[in-house]
Amino acid sequence: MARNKTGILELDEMLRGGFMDKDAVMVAGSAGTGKTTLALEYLVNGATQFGEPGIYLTFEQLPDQIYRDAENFGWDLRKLETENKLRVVCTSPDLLLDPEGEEQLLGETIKELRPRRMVIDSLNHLEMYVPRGDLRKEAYRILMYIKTRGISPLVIWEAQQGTESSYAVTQTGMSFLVDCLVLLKFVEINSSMKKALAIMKMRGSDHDKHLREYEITAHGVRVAAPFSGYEGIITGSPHRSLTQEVAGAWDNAFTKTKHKQ
Amino acid sequence: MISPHTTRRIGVAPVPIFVALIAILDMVLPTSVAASVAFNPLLVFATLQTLFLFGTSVVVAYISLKSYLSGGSRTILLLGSGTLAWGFASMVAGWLLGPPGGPNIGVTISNSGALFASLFYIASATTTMRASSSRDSKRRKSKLLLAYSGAVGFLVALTMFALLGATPAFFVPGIGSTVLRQVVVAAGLFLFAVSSILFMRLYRDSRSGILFWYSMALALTTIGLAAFYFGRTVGDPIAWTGRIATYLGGIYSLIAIWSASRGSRDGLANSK
Repeated sequence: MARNKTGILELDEMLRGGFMDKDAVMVAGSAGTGKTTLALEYLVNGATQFGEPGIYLTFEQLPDQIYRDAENFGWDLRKLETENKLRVVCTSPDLLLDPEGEEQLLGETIKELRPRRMVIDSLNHLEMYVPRGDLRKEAYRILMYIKTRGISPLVIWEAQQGTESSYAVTQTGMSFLVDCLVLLKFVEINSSMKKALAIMKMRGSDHDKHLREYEITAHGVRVAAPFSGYEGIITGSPHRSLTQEVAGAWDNAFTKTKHKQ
Repeated sequence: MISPHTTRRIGVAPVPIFVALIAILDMVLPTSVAASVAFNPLLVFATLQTLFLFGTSVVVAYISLKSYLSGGSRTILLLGSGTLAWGFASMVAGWLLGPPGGPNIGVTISNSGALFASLFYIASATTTMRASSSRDSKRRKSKLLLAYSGAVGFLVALTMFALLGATPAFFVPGIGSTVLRQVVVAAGLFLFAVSSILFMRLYRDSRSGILFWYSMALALTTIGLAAFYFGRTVGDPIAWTGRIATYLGGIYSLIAIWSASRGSRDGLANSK
């Protein structure tokens, strides 16, 4: 079974080798969780490590901003564009929503670049131009357009993270459109904000069910160990089980004391 | 409500009481009388060993397991392995003290197991003197498996050898302890005592209830081993005084766990 590796080692392990080829992937999370960084890294790694050109279609930022932000992670998008490995397309959602809009906007680029990956940042912007009831229909049309051209789409969805509940992805009914859903979430643990990543669904494939901590480092996304011993992270009220609490206190008593000396 | 300070003062009290009891019994108890009053209800003894030593050791070993897997401290790994070894040896010795092999098999396993466990304890206590943890979380499971199964595996092998009569005699009925037994018990006693003192030193710096109760548990176990050393025969009053001290040590290790649960709930794990 063909897989699209993200190039993020631990994430690929979680995905049992990568996203399924041609599957529509949604990366959902609230503002600041690193959705764009993850999506860009997926494209850059695809172009540089796996020979898979990609398109980054954004309604959100201007090209200069994107190039600058990517440079901070050591990704030279301009060079990749020169080498015909990547295209950054900044546009307005209404152009994409026009009848035949996708073809006019992307047709030439697809012919020229023959991309294997495409990121849409973000689907939320369509909400400004289409009635809420039509959003899913439009999103479906766009995803089908991309998939039928042999491209694996990855869409970004900014989900509200409430204090009491987990996520609004499923409430909007967007999650059923995609084959794979990656959730990014802030969690408060021991009075500090941590980022958690989970694969919520992956059609036709096994995947890691753990909620893992991740960081946005100077080199991109780095996924760490699962939040073992914590309960209630998804619901927004993480706490450790009594056994883990006791084990933690046990460890503190025997080991932390010596560091004070 | 009794303050932790008062509770700990009460907690220390059994140590001098047991030491005094053993010292008095050692002075006043003639060997002939000790043999005549020796009391060995095998089922009761085996149950007590299983409940107070093996049962409590399993709890401590489990908490140490969870702690090591999340924190990677070698101190905890060694402590958990030592506790498991001590509990397992005590339980097996309890069930094998009676016929057909006579008390020698149980005594051999109990005393050798104590020395074996004390090696883990002293290693654990000395690692508290320096930072020592495994950063490689992926290998922790295999290290833990190796340590715990190694501790139990060694004692299973020792039991097999003892049952097959392939181990040197520790106790000869009618004569008493052999020199080997005295050496093994003395070495174990010494290592348990040093471990207890090292953990108590750590307690002096942190005032952690966990460390207090655990070092006291080790002190009581040391007293139990001292009773093996001074006892005239298996099941005499000195031996029972020592056994009761070790059972109390088992209870103290549970109090250490309880102290950890209370501390974690209150965020006062290292409260003074």
